[in-house]
Amino acid sequence: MSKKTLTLMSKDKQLFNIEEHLAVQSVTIRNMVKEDGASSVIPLPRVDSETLALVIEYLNRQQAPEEDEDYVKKFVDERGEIPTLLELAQAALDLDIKKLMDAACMKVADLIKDFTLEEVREALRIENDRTPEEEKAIRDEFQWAF
Amino acid sequence: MAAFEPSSTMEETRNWSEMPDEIMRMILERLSAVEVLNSAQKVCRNWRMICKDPEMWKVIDMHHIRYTNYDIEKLTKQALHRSGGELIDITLDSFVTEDLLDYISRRSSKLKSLRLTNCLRITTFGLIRALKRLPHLETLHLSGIFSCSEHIKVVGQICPQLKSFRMKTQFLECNDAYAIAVANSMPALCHLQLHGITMTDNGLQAILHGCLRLESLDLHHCFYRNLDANLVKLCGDRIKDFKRPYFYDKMLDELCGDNVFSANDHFWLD
Repeated sequence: MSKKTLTLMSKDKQLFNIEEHLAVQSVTIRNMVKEDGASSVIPLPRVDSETLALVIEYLNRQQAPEEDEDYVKKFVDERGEIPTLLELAQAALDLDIKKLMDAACMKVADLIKDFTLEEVREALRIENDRTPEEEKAIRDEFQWAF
Repeated sequence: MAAFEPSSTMEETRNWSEMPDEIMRMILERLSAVEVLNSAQKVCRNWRMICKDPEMWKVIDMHHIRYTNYDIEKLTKQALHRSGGELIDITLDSFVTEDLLDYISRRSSKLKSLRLTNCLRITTFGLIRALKRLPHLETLHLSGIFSCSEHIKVVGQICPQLKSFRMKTQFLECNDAYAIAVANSMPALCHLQLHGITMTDNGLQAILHGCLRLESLDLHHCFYRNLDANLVKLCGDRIKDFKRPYFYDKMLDELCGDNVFSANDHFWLD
């Protein structure tokens, strides 16, 4: 008997095949399979193909990656770029792959913890959207402590 | 598997502040309190909102941080203010004063876990005063506080829900009173670590009889007199994770010759 495979579709419409017994390490996919057998293509509208390829690589490891802390850590360490890690974290959130999400978030936190404010904004492409009034409010908030 | 082209244009324009809050929160939760207060909360409006949520401040770790450039006591008060009374777990290092401990205990009635490391500025009286306001405490880890068996009895009485107790201290005389005080006053303990006290089989027997729920017992750094191999075996059988005393009897005599207890020795600190 051949192993059953599932097809996942990224937001840029690329298709990826993965064996069902490996795919169900994702709680989201496991629930879909339980409900309707997930015979058709499973769309992942927030995950791009590059990230989905990484997630498939992660899940394809023969010994359950979610149970091997060292492997999860090594997997995210090898992909140490902040944008990649954030995409990976979001994909893991959507697919409910907990250890992968935890590890990706942990790695981002490790990378940004010694950054200055400007470096954090640059690395995550976040604009400073606070008004001068809000800036002042932050400075004043804890005056009582100083 | 389908081939794919790296979608570089998309990546360049992606603004990460649009990431789900859940991800941002998970990242921010993994930063230390000092990192959040000094920088992360100032990054943008959304991060500030996440950082103001008391949920973010249920666990505060002020241990092993580099605090040469700012006033760590004031930052601890800010973190506590953010927790809005929801604090359940706090770890503090040698900077903590009795005033600060008092401040924390008055604002954290839900606290379950208190770890004080190298707290040379706290007396047992100051500690007990704070513990009286923390009836839900389940974990108490202490190092650097000099205390006697009478103090331990009081701690056990005012913290009836204590499940994990860890004490690093320095006891010069061979005395089982300490272990017996733990055994008599902390019956709900699941985890016990004693460090730096000197004891015999009587103390260990008392612990075995008094703390029936023990899952782990760490006496690795205790000084043990008249070690009874049968009793050690019994501990190993009864307690899932038992660390036997490393220094005992003859070894201990040799060590005492080297003056292991000298005043300059920092053996009892973390």
